[in-house]
Amino acid sequence: MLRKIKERIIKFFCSIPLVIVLLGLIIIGSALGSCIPQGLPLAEYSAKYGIARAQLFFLLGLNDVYHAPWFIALLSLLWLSLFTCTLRQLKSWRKSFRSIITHLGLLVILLGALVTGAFGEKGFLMVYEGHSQDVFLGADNKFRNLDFKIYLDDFEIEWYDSASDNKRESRIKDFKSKIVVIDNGKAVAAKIVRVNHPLTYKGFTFLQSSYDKKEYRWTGLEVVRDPGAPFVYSGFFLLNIGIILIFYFRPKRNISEDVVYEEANQ
Amino acid sequence: MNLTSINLAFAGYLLACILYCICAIFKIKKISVVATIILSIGLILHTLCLINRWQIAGHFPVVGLYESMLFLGWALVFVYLALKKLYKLKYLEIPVTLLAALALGYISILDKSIKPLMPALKSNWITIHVISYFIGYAGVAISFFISIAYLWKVKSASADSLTQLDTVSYRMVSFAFPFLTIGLTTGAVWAKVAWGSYWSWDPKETWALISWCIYAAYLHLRLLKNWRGTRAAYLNIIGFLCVLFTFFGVNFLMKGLHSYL
Repeated sequence: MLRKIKERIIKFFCSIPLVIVLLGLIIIGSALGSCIPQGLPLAEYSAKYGIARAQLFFLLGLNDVYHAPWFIALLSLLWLSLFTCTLRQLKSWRKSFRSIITHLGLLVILLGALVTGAFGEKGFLMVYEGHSQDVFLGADNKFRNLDFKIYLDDFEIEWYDSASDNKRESRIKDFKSKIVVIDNGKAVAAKIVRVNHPLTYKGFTFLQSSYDKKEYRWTGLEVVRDPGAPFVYSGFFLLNIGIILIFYFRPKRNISEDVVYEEANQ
Repeated sequence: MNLTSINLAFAGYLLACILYCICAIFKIKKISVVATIILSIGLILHTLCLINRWQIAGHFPVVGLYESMLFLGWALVFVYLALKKLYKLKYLEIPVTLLAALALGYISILDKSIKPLMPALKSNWITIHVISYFIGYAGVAISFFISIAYLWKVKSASADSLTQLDTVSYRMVSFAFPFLTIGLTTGAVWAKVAWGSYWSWDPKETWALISWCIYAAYLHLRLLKNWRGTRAAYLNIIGFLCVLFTFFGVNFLMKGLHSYL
């Protein structure tokens, strides 16, 4: 009895038509989210689209597609489907390890995204030269405390040409914030934070994101805590390895796609 | 030197295209050999231009519209010539040479000055990201043309040559899909390093993911549900239209972080 139920569940989730329908709905949802501006207040939607349509957007979650319950539900169903398929393939892992690795990668990426969404933090920290800062403004507009301090030793902009009368945004070569991390009164880390070169300490990453446009006296750092990132990176690694194995390193006899077809059906 | 060789490459592609046309109309096989030699010489000159630009600019030349089109045209001809024998590509000489000539003709009216690199673009991830995407795009573009040829010939050609077209268009997708995957994931890693999050549902990201999902669906339907022929060709064409929209449409129609072109 129990076994029958289990088989039925597996049969339902591990089916190509289900995956295709889910993918199709996710594609439609994503496309809608890219056409309709996201995360605005109701008033702005009604000014742009009329009140009736604005209310419909809110009802269907189209004002915030990528966090709407139905969109998350679609992703969860896709995850379950991939999970059951991968379980089923484990029996014949010798033949299907390529696709197992690929799907495992996707599973880990989606898990990582869940971890990021649930436990991740984002914010903005501003610090003046010669000062230290341990408070940042979170994405929810509330201030948060760090249990260490960020000290800005120096902020500097590098220009592409030294001519001072030509200081336009497009001539900026780099933003450099000389940062020292102070924990328990001791300097524990130091780095020149630049775009593409963030500093990470105790799980918090500090990225160059803004600056004092008048006097170059303060710097603005994006503060990110993202416990999901290691999962996502591992998932990316597995996904790439798996897909490269599938398409570039199949055994010779498998070159015709029909053999892949048989293999995948087992 | 750069300007001359790029003009010569343009002339080479155009000449090859004309010769392929003559060859197709009058069915003279020998001309196609000459055309392929001219096309290869064009590619060599084109490669020299790229290296020259790389040296002068100090970064791999994939920043801005001029460099993007220069590299995209190169990737198209390179992927075509590299895979021509292996995958027995047919009917593609004219569209590939025409597109390459158009790309080089188009950039001749663009601003060629080397713009200073904005700080966010100074990363090795972006180089891998863009190179894999352009090679992948060249691959799916070729696959798209084969699917078009399939639909064109579906009533007139023999079953054998149709099967061949169908298989080759699948093979081109399976050549390109790993590159699209590498491009998508390295882009996410780069975003994490530059902006702090690996995914922010920026329109360019969203449409890149949509294209990737369509090709994933295509591969699954083909391999597991035996989608062949016309159905597969239509899905493949939809996939490429999404790629085109990702590459061009998003920049013109939507606001986002990818406004570098």
